[in-house]
Amino acid sequence: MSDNKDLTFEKAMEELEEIVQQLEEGGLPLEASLDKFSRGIELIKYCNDKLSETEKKIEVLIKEDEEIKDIVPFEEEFGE
Amino acid sequence: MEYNIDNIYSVSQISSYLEALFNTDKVLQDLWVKGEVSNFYQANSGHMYFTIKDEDAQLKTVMFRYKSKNINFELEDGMEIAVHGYINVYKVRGEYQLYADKIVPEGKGTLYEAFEKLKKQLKEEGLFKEEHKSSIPTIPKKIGIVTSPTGAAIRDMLSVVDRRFKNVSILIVPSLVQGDKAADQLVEGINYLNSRDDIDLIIVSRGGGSIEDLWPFNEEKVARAIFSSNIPVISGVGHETDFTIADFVADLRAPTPSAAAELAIGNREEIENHLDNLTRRLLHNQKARLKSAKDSLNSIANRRIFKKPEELFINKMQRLDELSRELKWNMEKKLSKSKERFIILNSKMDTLSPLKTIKRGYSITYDQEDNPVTDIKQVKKGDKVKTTIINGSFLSSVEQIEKDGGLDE
Repeated sequence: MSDNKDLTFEKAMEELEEIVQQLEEGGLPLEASLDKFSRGIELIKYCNDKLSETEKKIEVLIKEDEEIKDIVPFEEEFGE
Repeated sequence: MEYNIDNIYSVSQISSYLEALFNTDKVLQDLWVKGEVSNFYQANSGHMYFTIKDEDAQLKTVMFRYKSKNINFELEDGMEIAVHGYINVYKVRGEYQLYADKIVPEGKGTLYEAFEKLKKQLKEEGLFKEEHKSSIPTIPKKIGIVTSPTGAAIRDMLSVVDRRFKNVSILIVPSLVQGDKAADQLVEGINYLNSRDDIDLIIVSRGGGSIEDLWPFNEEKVARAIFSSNIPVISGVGHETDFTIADFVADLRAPTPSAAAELAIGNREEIENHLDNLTRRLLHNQKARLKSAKDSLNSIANRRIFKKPEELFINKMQRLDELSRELKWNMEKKLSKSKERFIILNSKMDTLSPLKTIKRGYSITYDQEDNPVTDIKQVKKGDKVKTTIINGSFLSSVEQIEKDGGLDE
């Protein structure tokens, strides 16, 4: 439906908020409101994708003589 | 020098001479002196008098009221302080003394000055301006933390992350956070994170400590590294009451390391809740919208006209019957009227018909053009005329014309 290339999480949230507000105000013809709704669903999917893109991972940089040697899980190196 | 009446100075003279000496000495005119406070006394006038001393010496000090307003702590005996001012002669007593204009608790003396100076300089340069502050990303993909991997700060931050249990990725860049090498390592850490392309938020942090401990975060190179970082920087240094230069130049100042972690990922939690909320509202609204559309559709579909569509033309059918019956009736009426009229006309015709008259001996004469002769002028002598009687006709020629009232010829 719309081009999502320039979409960022922040922009998507903003647009989504606008859509929900418009729909809640009412007054849109049914067909237009269906279009808005499906755009809303699209944005929610985009945001959820962005949110789940990262996984929990805690790493630490290992340096030796000022040189970066490795990146290892933090627990492995400094865990109790 | 021999005793000579001409070479003797008065006390005032020699005091003035000393005063002039003091006044022209650069060191004495602008200096910091540190020591312990003793014999502190504040006169009713508001002026403060005390002595600063160390193990071997003491120095009388006065701070006049208009200067003492700048002190934001209570001076008391035994306190270690550093005092700024100039030294001059107090001729009345034949003493030299320190005329103070600034006092800071010692230990902080030079650092405090350096802090204030750098803060002022960077502020004037515009490094603290709001317009230079970038916004913190709402969902950082990967957070770079420059701190000691063994300090209290990282433990505090990781426990916040653990508690929140959010899928956030963190890269810790170990750095000394106190001592001479700390500033350089902090700068390196910030620059290293900027050289990567997967970091979208940086936290520089250390736990609480003395002003000396926190000092690396007050160094100009650290401030400049934070300022030129393309990645937004959160500072979380020391306790809530500690303010460092790093705090002023950072895009966001967190009062503590834990708070820095919370600002970095707490934000995300809020966003997730907000997104959930928007999703619920969108679905609810659409459901309600569809239901209401369906309801109005149903209410229209349930109207009588759709339930009993034949009613739409039943009436018309009836009316049609009525009309055709009326039409028929009217036609019949009209027809019978015409019939009557025909009979009347017929009988009239009968009485008017020339046949009856002809029967009585009258005849009709036609001229040469077969027109009935009704005017004498229609014929002239020699014309052939045809005369019809009841049972035949005969041709004759006109011998003579007789108009009423005389002969024509």
